[in-house]
Amino acid sequence: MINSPLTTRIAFHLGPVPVTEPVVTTWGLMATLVLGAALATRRLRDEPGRVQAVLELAVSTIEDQIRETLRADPRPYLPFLATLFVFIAGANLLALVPGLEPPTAHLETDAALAVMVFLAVHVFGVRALGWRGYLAQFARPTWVMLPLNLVSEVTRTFSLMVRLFGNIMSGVFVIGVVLSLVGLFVPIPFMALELLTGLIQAYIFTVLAMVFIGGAVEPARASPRSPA
Amino acid sequence: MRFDLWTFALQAANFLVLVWLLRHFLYRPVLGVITQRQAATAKLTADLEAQAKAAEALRRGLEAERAAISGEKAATLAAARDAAAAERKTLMAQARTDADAVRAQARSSFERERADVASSLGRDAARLAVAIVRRLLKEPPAAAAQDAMLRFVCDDIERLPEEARQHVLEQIAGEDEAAPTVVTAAPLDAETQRSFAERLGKALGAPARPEFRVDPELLAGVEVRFPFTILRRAWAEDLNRIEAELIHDDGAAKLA
Repeated sequence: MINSPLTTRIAFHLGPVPVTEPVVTTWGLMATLVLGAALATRRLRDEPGRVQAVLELAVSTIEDQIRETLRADPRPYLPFLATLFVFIAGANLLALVPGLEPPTAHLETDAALAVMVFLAVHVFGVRALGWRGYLAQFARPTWVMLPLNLVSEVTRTFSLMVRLFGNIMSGVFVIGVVLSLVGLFVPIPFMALELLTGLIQAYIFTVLAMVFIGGAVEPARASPRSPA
Repeated sequence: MRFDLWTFALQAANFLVLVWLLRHFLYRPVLGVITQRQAATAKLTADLEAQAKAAEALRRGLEAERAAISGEKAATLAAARDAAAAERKTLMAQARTDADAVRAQARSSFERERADVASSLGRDAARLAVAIVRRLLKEPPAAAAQDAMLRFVCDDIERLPEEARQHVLEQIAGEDEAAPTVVTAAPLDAETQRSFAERLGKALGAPARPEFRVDPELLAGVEVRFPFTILRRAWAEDLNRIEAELIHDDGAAKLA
Protein backbone atom coordinates (compact mmCIF):
# COMPACT_ATOMS: atom_id res chain seq x y z
CA MET A 1 0.00 0.00 0.00
CA ILE A 2 1.77 3.07 -1.30
CA ASN A 3 -1.02 5.56 -1.71
CA SER A 4 -2.81 7.22 1.12
CA PRO A 5 -6.05 5.45 2.06
CA LEU A 6 -7.68 8.81 2.31
CA THR A 7 -7.46 9.34 -1.42
CA THR A 8 -9.75 7.71 -3.94
CA ARG A 9 -8.30 6.83 -7.30
CA ILE A 10 -10.38 6.83 -10.42
CA ALA A 11 -10.19 3.59 -12.34
CA PHE A 12 -12.04 4.69 -15.46
CA HIS A 13 -14.95 6.81 -16.59
CA LEU A 14 -18.35 5.75 -17.75
CA GLY A 15 -19.28 8.74 -19.72
CA PRO A 16 -19.27 11.60 -17.30
CA VAL A 17 -19.25 9.30 -14.33
CA PRO A 18 -15.88 8.59 -12.82
CA VAL A 19 -15.64 5.03 -11.59
CA THR A 20 -13.23 4.81 -8.69
CA GLU A 21 -11.28 1.77 -7.55
CA PRO A 22 -13.50 1.05 -4.51
CA VAL A 23 -16.44 0.83 -6.87
CA VAL A 24 -14.64 -1.58 -9.11
CA THR A 25 -13.54 -3.61 -6.11
CA THR A 26 -17.12 -3.64 -4.90
CA TRP A 27 -18.31 -4.90 -8.26
CA GLY A 28 -15.78 -7.69 -8.08
CA LEU A 29 -16.90 -8.52 -4.57
CA MET A 30 -20.52 -8.45 -5.64
CA ALA A 31 -19.83 -10.68 -8.57
CA THR A 32 -17.99 -13.10 -6.35
CA LEU A 33 -20.72 -13.17 -3.76
CA VAL A 34 -23.54 -13.52 -6.25
CA LEU A 35 -21.73 -16.11 -8.32
CA GLY A 36 -20.81 -18.07 -5.22
CA ALA A 37 -24.37 -17.88 -3.94
CA ALA A 38 -25.77 -18.96 -7.29
CA LEU A 39 -23.39 -21.91 -7.47
CA ALA A 40 -23.99 -22.88 -3.84
CA THR A 41 -27.75 -22.74 -4.16
CA ARG A 42 -27.89 -24.40 -7.54
CA ARG A 43 -28.74 -27.83 -6.21
CA LEU A 44 -30.37 -27.52 -2.85
CA ARG A 45 -31.75 -30.73 -1.45
CA ASP A 46 -33.66 -31.83 1.58
CA GLU A 47 -30.60 -33.69 2.77
CA PRO A 48 -28.04 -30.89 2.74
CA GLY A 49 -24.45 -31.34 1.63
CA ARG A 50 -21.53 -29.68 3.30
CA VAL A 51 -21.82 -26.33 1.47
CA GLN A 52 -25.59 -26.25 1.81
CA ALA A 53 -25.32 -27.03 5.51
CA VAL A 54 -22.92 -24.10 5.98
CA LEU A 55 -25.22 -21.80 4.04
CA GLU A 56 -28.27 -22.91 5.99
CA LEU A 57 -26.38 -22.56 9.26
CA ALA A 58 -25.25 -19.03 8.38
CA VAL A 59 -28.70 -17.93 7.24
CA SER A 60 -30.38 -19.55 10.25
CA THR A 61 -27.91 -17.93 12.63
CA ILE A 62 -28.54 -14.48 11.17
CA GLU A 63 -32.26 -15.16 11.21
CA ASP A 64 -32.15 -16.18 14.87
CA GLN A 65 -30.09 -13.09 15.69
CA ILE A 66 -32.66 -10.86 14.00
CA ARG A 67 -35.52 -12.66 15.72
CA GLU A 68 -33.91 -12.26 19.13
CA THR A 69 -33.12 -8.61 18.59
CA LEU A 70 -36.29 -7.47 16.87
CA ARG A 71 -38.61 -9.97 18.53
CA ALA A 72 -40.50 -10.15 15.26
CA ASP A 73 -40.62 -12.20 12.09
CA PRO A 74 -37.09 -11.91 10.70
CA ARG A 75 -37.94 -12.66 7.08
CA PRO A 76 -38.66 -9.03 5.96
CA TYR A 77 -35.40 -7.78 7.43
CA LEU A 78 -33.18 -10.71 6.59
CA PRO A 79 -32.08 -9.69 3.06
CA PHE A 80 -31.05 -6.19 4.08
CA LEU A 81 -29.29 -7.07 7.33
CA ALA A 82 -27.68 -10.27 6.08
CA THR A 83 -26.41 -8.49 2.95
CA LEU A 84 -25.08 -5.73 5.14
CA PHE A 85 -23.06 -8.24 7.19
CA VAL A 86 -21.90 -10.27 4.21
CA PHE A 87 -20.89 -7.22 2.21
CA ILE A 88 -19.05 -5.49 5.06
CA ALA A 89 -17.32 -8.70 6.17
CA GLY A 90 -16.32 -9.52 2.61
CA ALA A 91 -15.13 -5.99 1.97
CA ASN A 92 -13.14 -5.88 5.18
CA LEU A 93 -11.50 -9.21 4.45
CA LEU A 94 -10.29 -7.87 1.12
CA ALA A 95 -7.56 -6.19 3.14
CA LEU A 96 -5.91 -9.59 3.29
CA VAL A 97 -5.79 -9.92 -0.49
CA PRO A 98 -2.63 -8.44 -1.87
CA GLY A 99 -3.18 -5.52 -4.23
CA LEU A 100 -6.76 -4.89 -3.17
CA GLU A 101 -8.10 -2.24 -0.87
CA PRO A 102 -11.24 -2.83 1.15
CA PRO A 103 -14.02 -0.63 -0.17
CA THR A 104 -14.97 0.02 3.43
CA ALA A 105 -11.62 1.67 3.95
CA HIS A 106 -12.99 4.57 1.88
CA LEU A 107 -15.42 6.99 3.41
CA GLU A 108 -17.84 6.97 0.46
CA THR A 109 -18.61 3.29 0.89
CA ASP A 110 -19.13 3.60 4.66
CA ALA A 111 -21.27 6.68 4.15
CA ALA A 112 -23.34 4.85 1.55
CA LEU A 113 -23.85 1.95 3.93
CA ALA A 114 -24.73 4.24 6.82
CA VAL A 115 -27.20 6.12 4.66
CA MET A 116 -28.71 2.83 3.57
CA VAL A 117 -29.19 1.94 7.22
CA PHE A 118 -30.64 5.40 7.88
CA LEU A 119 -33.15 4.99 5.08
CA ALA A 120 -33.91 1.39 5.96
CA VAL A 121 -34.73 2.36 9.52
CA HIS A 122 -37.31 4.85 8.33
CA VAL A 123 -38.70 2.60 5.63
CA PHE A 124 -39.17 -0.32 8.01
CA GLY A 125 -40.51 1.99 10.74
CA VAL A 126 -43.12 3.55 8.46
CA ARG A 127 -44.02 0.15 7.09
CA ALA A 128 -44.53 -1.22 10.60
CA LEU A 129 -46.18 1.76 12.32
CA GLY A 130 -47.49 3.96 9.55
CA TRP A 131 -46.48 7.54 8.89
CA ARG A 132 -48.29 9.01 11.85
CA GLY A 133 -47.25 6.32 14.29
CA TYR A 134 -43.68 6.38 13.16
CA LEU A 135 -43.31 10.14 13.28
CA ALA A 136 -44.93 10.17 16.69
CA GLN A 137 -42.01 8.12 17.94
CA PHE A 138 -39.76 11.14 17.69
CA ALA A 139 -41.89 13.07 20.19
CA ARG A 140 -41.54 10.44 22.87
CA PRO A 141 -41.43 10.41 25.78
CA THR A 142 -42.20 14.19 25.50
CA TRP A 143 -42.17 16.87 22.80
CA VAL A 144 -39.07 18.27 24.36
CA MET A 145 -37.19 15.23 23.16
CA LEU A 146 -38.08 15.85 19.50
CA PRO A 147 -34.94 17.89 18.60
CA LEU A 148 -32.67 15.46 20.40
CA ASN A 149 -34.27 12.49 18.71
CA LEU A 150 -33.90 14.12 15.30
CA VAL A 151 -30.28 14.95 15.99
CA SER A 152 -29.63 11.44 17.22
CA GLU A 153 -30.93 10.04 13.95
CA VAL A 154 -28.15 11.89 12.18
CA THR A 155 -25.43 11.42 14.72
CA ARG A 156 -25.88 7.69 15.08
CA THR A 157 -25.75 7.32 11.32
CA PHE A 158 -22.64 9.43 11.31
CA SER A 159 -21.15 7.34 14.11
CA LEU A 160 -21.84 4.18 12.13
CA MET A 161 -19.98 5.57 9.18
CA VAL A 162 -17.05 6.91 11.16
CA ARG A 163 -16.65 3.80 13.27
CA LEU A 164 -16.43 1.49 10.31
CA PHE A 165 -14.29 3.85 8.31
CA GLY A 166 -11.89 4.54 11.18
CA ASN A 167 -11.34 0.91 12.08
CA ILE A 168 -10.88 -0.41 8.58
CA MET A 169 -8.92 2.56 7.25
CA SER A 170 -6.57 2.49 10.22
CA GLY A 171 -5.98 -1.23 9.82
CA VAL A 172 -5.21 -0.88 6.15
CA PHE A 173 -3.01 2.09 6.90
CA VAL A 174 -1.07 0.25 9.57
CA ILE A 175 -0.61 -2.81 7.39
CA GLY A 176 0.56 -0.60 4.52
CA VAL A 177 3.03 1.25 6.68
CA VAL A 178 4.43 -1.91 8.29
CA LEU A 179 4.58 -3.66 4.94
CA SER A 180 6.44 -0.79 3.38
CA LEU A 181 8.86 -0.52 6.25
CA VAL A 182 9.61 -4.09 7.36
CA GLY A 183 8.92 -6.71 4.76
CA LEU A 184 6.74 -9.67 4.00
CA PHE A 185 6.24 -11.65 7.18
CA VAL A 186 6.12 -9.01 9.89
CA PRO A 187 2.67 -7.67 8.82
CA ILE A 188 1.13 -11.11 9.21
CA PRO A 189 0.09 -10.60 12.87
CA PHE A 190 -1.36 -7.26 11.89
CA MET A 191 -3.24 -8.89 9.05
CA ALA A 192 -4.62 -11.49 11.42
CA LEU A 193 -5.69 -8.71 13.72
CA GLU A 194 -7.24 -6.94 10.75
CA LEU A 195 -9.12 -10.14 9.93
CA LEU A 196 -10.57 -10.18 13.41
CA THR A 197 -11.27 -6.46 13.34
CA GLY A 198 -13.01 -6.71 10.00
CA LEU A 199 -15.34 -9.45 11.18
CA ILE A 200 -16.06 -7.67 14.47
CA GLN A 201 -16.79 -4.39 12.70
CA ALA A 202 -19.12 -6.12 10.28
CA TYR A 203 -20.92 -7.70 13.20
CA ILE A 204 -21.10 -4.42 15.12
CA PHE A 205 -22.37 -2.48 12.11
CA THR A 206 -25.02 -5.12 11.40
CA VAL A 207 -26.13 -5.45 15.02
CA LEU A 208 -26.41 -1.68 15.40
CA ALA A 209 -28.47 -1.50 12.23
CA MET A 210 -30.60 -4.28 13.64
CA VAL A 211 -31.08 -2.38 16.88
CA PHE A 212 -31.97 0.82 15.03
CA ILE A 213 -34.52 -0.97 12.93
CA GLY A 214 -35.87 -2.73 16.00
CA GLY A 215 -36.29 0.59 17.75
CA ALA A 216 -38.16 1.91 14.76
CA VAL A 217 -40.57 -0.96 14.30
CA GLU A 218 -41.39 -1.48 17.97
CA PRO A 219 -43.05 1.47 19.77
CA ALA A 220 -42.13 0.29 23.23
CA ARG A 221 -38.48 0.29 22.38
CA ALA A 222 -38.52 3.59 20.53
CA SER A 223 -37.64 5.93 23.40
CA PRO A 224 -33.93 5.03 23.84
CA ARG A 225 -33.24 6.00 20.30
CA SER A 226 -29.56 6.61 20.36
CA PRO A 227 -27.46 3.71 21.54
CA ALA A 228 -24.57 5.00 19.39
CA MET B 1 -9.22 13.82 1.70
CA ARG B 2 -12.05 14.28 -0.73
CA PHE B 3 -15.58 12.90 -0.60
CA ASP B 4 -16.61 11.61 -4.02
CA LEU B 5 -20.33 11.82 -4.45
CA TRP B 6 -20.28 9.57 -7.51
CA THR B 7 -18.54 6.88 -5.57
CA PHE B 8 -21.02 7.37 -2.73
CA ALA B 9 -23.95 7.05 -5.08
CA LEU B 10 -22.51 4.09 -6.92
CA GLN B 11 -21.72 2.27 -3.68
CA ALA B 12 -25.23 2.87 -2.42
CA ALA B 13 -26.62 1.55 -5.66
CA ASN B 14 -24.21 -1.35 -5.56
CA PHE B 15 -25.41 -2.24 -2.10
CA LEU B 16 -29.04 -2.16 -3.13
CA VAL B 17 -28.30 -4.27 -6.17
CA LEU B 18 -26.38 -6.68 -4.01
CA VAL B 19 -29.31 -6.93 -1.63
CA TRP B 20 -31.58 -7.76 -4.51
CA LEU B 21 -29.18 -10.25 -6.07
CA LEU B 22 -28.44 -12.06 -2.86
CA ARG B 23 -32.10 -12.13 -2.03
CA HIS B 24 -32.75 -13.80 -5.33
CA PHE B 25 -29.78 -16.13 -5.44
CA LEU B 26 -29.11 -16.86 -1.78
CA TYR B 27 -31.74 -16.05 0.79
CA ARG B 28 -34.81 -17.07 -1.06
CA PRO B 29 -33.55 -20.53 -2.10
CA VAL B 30 -31.99 -21.25 1.27
CA LEU B 31 -35.00 -20.01 3.20
CA GLY B 32 -37.22 -21.96 0.84
CA VAL B 33 -35.35 -25.15 1.60
CA ILE B 34 -35.40 -24.40 5.30
CA THR B 35 -39.11 -23.63 5.18
CA GLN B 36 -39.78 -26.75 3.17
CA ARG B 37 -37.82 -28.84 5.66
CA GLN B 38 -39.56 -27.17 8.57
CA ALA B 39 -42.91 -27.89 6.93
CA ALA B 40 -41.89 -31.48 6.37
CA THR B 41 -40.68 -31.67 9.95
CA ALA B 42 -43.89 -30.08 11.19
CA LYS B 43 -45.89 -32.50 9.08
CA LEU B 44 -43.86 -35.39 10.38
CA THR B 45 -44.28 -34.11 13.91
CA ALA B 46 -48.02 -33.70 13.36
CA ASP B 47 -48.20 -37.20 11.91
CA LEU B 48 -46.22 -38.54 14.84
CA GLU B 49 -48.45 -36.67 17.26
CA ALA B 50 -51.51 -38.01 15.47
CA GLN B 51 -50.05 -41.49 15.61
CA ALA B 52 -49.18 -40.96 19.24
CA LYS B 53 -52.73 -39.81 19.92
CA ALA B 54 -54.11 -42.78 18.03
CA ALA B 55 -51.78 -45.06 19.94
CA GLU B 56 -52.83 -43.39 23.17
CA ALA B 57 -56.49 -43.81 22.27
CA LEU B 58 -55.84 -47.42 21.36
CA ARG B 59 -53.97 -47.91 24.60
CA ARG B 60 -56.81 -46.39 26.58
CA GLY B 61 -59.28 -48.57 24.73
CA LEU B 62 -57.20 -51.62 25.46
CA GLU B 63 -56.87 -50.57 29.09
CA ALA B 64 -60.63 -50.13 29.28
CA GLU B 65 -61.12 -53.55 27.71
CA ARG B 66 -58.57 -55.03 30.05
CA ALA B 67 -60.28 -53.38 32.99
CA ALA B 68 -63.60 -54.75 31.80
CA ILE B 69 -62.06 -58.17 31.37
CA SER B 70 -60.54 -57.89 34.82
CA GLY B 71 -63.89 -56.93 36.27
CA GLU B 72 -65.62 -59.74 34.45
CA LYS B 73 -62.92 -62.12 35.58
CA ALA B 74 -63.29 -60.95 39.15
CA ALA B 75 -67.06 -61.35 38.94
CA THR B 76 -66.70 -64.82 37.44
CA LEU B 77 -64.19 -65.78 40.08
CA ALA B 78 -66.44 -64.42 42.79
CA ALA B 79 -69.43 -66.31 41.38
CA ALA B 80 -67.36 -69.49 41.09
CA ARG B 81 -66.05 -68.97 44.59
CA ASP B 82 -69.59 -68.47 45.90
CA ALA B 83 -70.85 -71.52 44.01
CA ALA B 84 -67.92 -73.55 45.29
CA ALA B 85 -68.58 -72.34 48.82
CA ALA B 86 -72.27 -73.20 48.53
CA GLU B 87 -71.45 -76.58 47.02
CA ARG B 88 -68.89 -77.17 49.73
CA LYS B 89 -71.41 -76.21 52.35
CA THR B 90 -73.97 -78.56 50.86
CA LEU B 91 -71.44 -81.35 50.58
CA MET B 92 -70.25 -80.73 54.11
CA ALA B 93 -73.80 -80.84 55.42
CA GLN B 94 -74.51 -83.99 53.43
CA ALA B 95 -71.27 -85.54 54.61
CA ARG B 96 -72.02 -84.53 58.17
CA THR B 97 -75.48 -86.04 57.91
CA ASP B 98 -74.09 -89.22 56.38
CA ALA B 99 -71.36 -89.33 58.97
CA ASP B 100 -73.88 -88.87 61.76
CA ALA B 101 -76.02 -91.63 60.31
CA VAL B 102 -73.02 -93.93 59.92
CA ARG B 103 -71.83 -92.98 63.37
CA ALA B 104 -75.29 -93.62 64.87
CA GLN B 105 -75.54 -96.91 63.01
CA ALA B 106 -72.07 -97.87 64.12
CA ARG B 107 -72.82 -96.84 67.66
CA SER B 108 -76.05 -98.83 67.61
CA SER B 109 -74.29 -101.82 66.14
CA PHE B 110 -71.47 -101.42 68.57
CA GLU B 111 -73.86 -101.18 71.49
CA ARG B 112 -75.68 -104.20 70.29
CA GLU B 113 -72.51 -106.18 69.78
CA ARG B 114 -71.19 -104.93 73.05
CA ALA B 115 -74.37 -106.03 74.79
CA ASP B 116 -74.17 -109.43 73.12
CA VAL B 117 -70.52 -109.76 74.01
CA ALA B 118 -71.21 -108.63 77.54
CA SER B 119 -74.07 -111.04 77.83
CA SER B 120 -72.00 -113.85 76.44
CA LEU B 121 -69.07 -112.93 78.65
CA GLY B 122 -71.42 -112.70 81.61
CA ARG B 123 -72.77 -116.15 80.91
CA ASP B 124 -69.33 -117.56 80.43
CA ALA B 125 -68.17 -115.82 83.54
CA ALA B 126 -71.11 -117.17 85.51
CA ARG B 127 -70.46 -120.64 84.22
CA LEU B 128 -66.81 -120.26 84.93
CA ALA B 129 -67.49 -118.91 88.41
CA VAL B 130 -69.87 -121.72 89.20
CA ALA B 131 -67.46 -124.25 87.81
CA ILE B 132 -64.69 -122.78 89.88
CA VAL B 133 -66.84 -122.83 92.97
CA ARG B 134 -67.92 -126.33 92.25
CA ARG B 135 -64.39 -127.47 91.83
CA LEU B 136 -63.35 -125.69 94.96
CA LEU B 137 -66.23 -127.09 96.96
CA LYS B 138 -65.56 -130.61 95.76
CA GLU B 139 -62.46 -130.50 97.86
CA PRO B 140 -62.96 -131.76 101.45
CA PRO B 141 -64.68 -128.88 103.16
CA ALA B 142 -63.02 -127.37 106.07
CA ALA B 143 -64.13 -128.43 109.49
CA ALA B 144 -65.26 -124.96 110.30
CA ALA B 145 -67.53 -124.84 107.24
CA GLN B 146 -68.91 -128.22 108.02
CA ASP B 147 -69.61 -127.25 111.62
CA ALA B 148 -71.23 -124.03 110.46
CA MET B 149 -73.52 -125.93 108.12
CA LEU B 150 -74.48 -128.34 110.88
CA ARG B 151 -75.12 -125.46 113.25
CA PHE B 152 -77.24 -123.66 110.65
CA VAL B 153 -79.37 -126.72 110.17
CA CYS B 154 -79.93 -126.97 113.92
CA ASP B 155 -80.84 -123.32 114.00
CA ASP B 156 -83.31 -123.88 111.17
CA ILE B 157 -84.95 -126.67 113.12
CA GLU B 158 -85.18 -124.47 116.18
CA ARG B 159 -86.83 -121.75 114.14
CA LEU B 160 -89.41 -124.11 112.78
CA PRO B 161 -92.93 -123.33 113.88
CA GLU B 162 -93.96 -125.29 116.88
CA GLU B 163 -96.60 -127.14 114.95
CA ALA B 164 -94.14 -128.20 112.29
CA ARG B 165 -91.55 -129.24 114.85
CA GLN B 166 -94.19 -131.37 116.67
CA HIS B 167 -95.09 -132.98 113.40
CA VAL B 168 -91.43 -133.84 112.84
CA LEU B 169 -91.16 -135.23 116.38
CA GLU B 170 -94.20 -137.38 115.75
CA GLN B 171 -92.52 -138.75 112.65
CA ILE B 172 -89.37 -139.78 114.44
CA ALA B 173 -90.91 -140.73 117.80
CA GLY B 174 -93.96 -142.60 116.52
CA GLU B 175 -94.62 -146.23 116.20
CA ASP B 176 -92.23 -146.58 113.31
CA GLU B 177 -89.50 -144.63 115.02
CA ALA B 178 -87.99 -143.66 111.75
CA ALA B 179 -84.57 -142.18 112.44
CA PRO B 180 -83.66 -138.99 110.63
CA THR B 181 -80.93 -139.25 108.05
CA VAL B 182 -78.12 -136.70 107.99
CA VAL B 183 -76.46 -136.44 104.58
CA THR B 184 -73.16 -134.53 104.33
CA ALA B 185 -70.76 -133.90 101.46
CA ALA B 186 -67.89 -135.37 103.44
CA PRO B 187 -67.90 -138.08 106.06
CA LEU B 188 -68.10 -136.90 109.63
CA ASP B 189 -65.93 -138.27 112.33
CA ALA B 190 -67.50 -139.90 115.36
CA GLU B 191 -67.08 -136.97 117.63
CA THR B 192 -68.76 -134.69 115.16
CA GLN B 193 -71.57 -137.19 114.65
CA ARG B 194 -72.11 -137.43 118.39
CA SER B 195 -72.00 -133.68 118.85
CA PHE B 196 -74.41 -133.11 115.98
CA ALA B 197 -76.80 -135.75 117.35
CA GLU B 198 -76.87 -133.95 120.65
CA ARG B 199 -77.48 -130.59 119.06
CA LEU B 200 -80.16 -132.05 116.82
CA GLY B 201 -81.95 -133.56 119.80
CA LYS B 202 -81.72 -130.27 121.64
CA ALA B 203 -83.16 -128.44 118.64
CA LEU B 204 -86.02 -130.91 118.29
CA GLY B 205 -86.66 -131.01 121.98
CA ALA B 206 -86.26 -134.80 122.08
CA PRO B 207 -83.32 -137.20 121.65
CA ALA B 208 -82.52 -138.22 118.16
CA ARG B 209 -80.33 -140.98 116.73
CA PRO B 210 -79.66 -139.91 113.18
CA GLU B 211 -78.04 -141.97 110.46
CA PHE B 212 -75.15 -140.40 108.63
CA ARG B 213 -74.57 -140.63 104.87
CA VAL B 214 -72.25 -139.03 102.44
CA ASP B 215 -73.29 -137.33 99.21
CA PRO B 216 -70.44 -135.34 97.55
CA GLU B 217 -72.92 -133.61 95.32
CA LEU B 218 -74.06 -131.51 98.25
CA LEU B 219 -70.86 -129.50 98.07
CA ALA B 220 -70.26 -128.65 101.69
CA GLY B 221 -73.91 -128.94 102.52
CA VAL B 222 -75.98 -130.72 105.09
CA GLU B 223 -79.30 -132.37 104.48
CA VAL B 224 -81.47 -133.71 107.29
CA ARG B 225 -84.09 -136.05 105.98
CA PHE B 226 -87.12 -136.80 108.09
CA PRO B 227 -89.81 -139.24 106.88
CA PHE B 228 -91.84 -136.50 105.32
CA THR B 229 -89.68 -133.47 105.75
CA ILE B 230 -86.24 -132.52 104.41
CA LEU B 231 -84.15 -129.69 105.78
CA ARG B 232 -81.27 -128.76 103.57
CA ARG B 233 -78.31 -126.43 103.92
CA ALA B 234 -76.30 -127.19 100.75
CA TRP B 235 -74.15 -124.96 98.57
CA ALA B 236 -74.88 -127.05 95.50
CA GLU B 237 -78.48 -126.01 95.53
CA ASP B 238 -77.51 -122.41 96.08
CA LEU B 239 -75.07 -122.54 93.18
CA ASN B 240 -77.66 -124.08 90.90
CA ARG B 241 -80.08 -121.35 91.78
CA ILE B 242 -77.50 -118.60 91.33
CA GLU B 243 -76.36 -120.04 88.01
CA ALA B 244 -79.93 -120.19 86.79
CA GLU B 245 -80.49 -116.63 87.81
CA LEU B 246 -77.21 -115.41 86.21
CA ILE B 247 -77.72 -117.16 82.93
CA HIS B 248 -81.45 -116.82 82.37
CA ASP B 249 -82.16 -113.58 84.14
CA ASP B 250 -80.43 -110.28 83.52
CA GLY B 251 -77.77 -111.31 85.97
CA ALA B 252 -75.26 -111.36 83.17
CA ALA B 253 -75.93 -107.72 82.49
CA LYS B 254 -75.47 -107.01 86.13
CA LEU B 255 -72.20 -108.91 86.12
CA ALA B 256 -71.06 -107.04 83.05
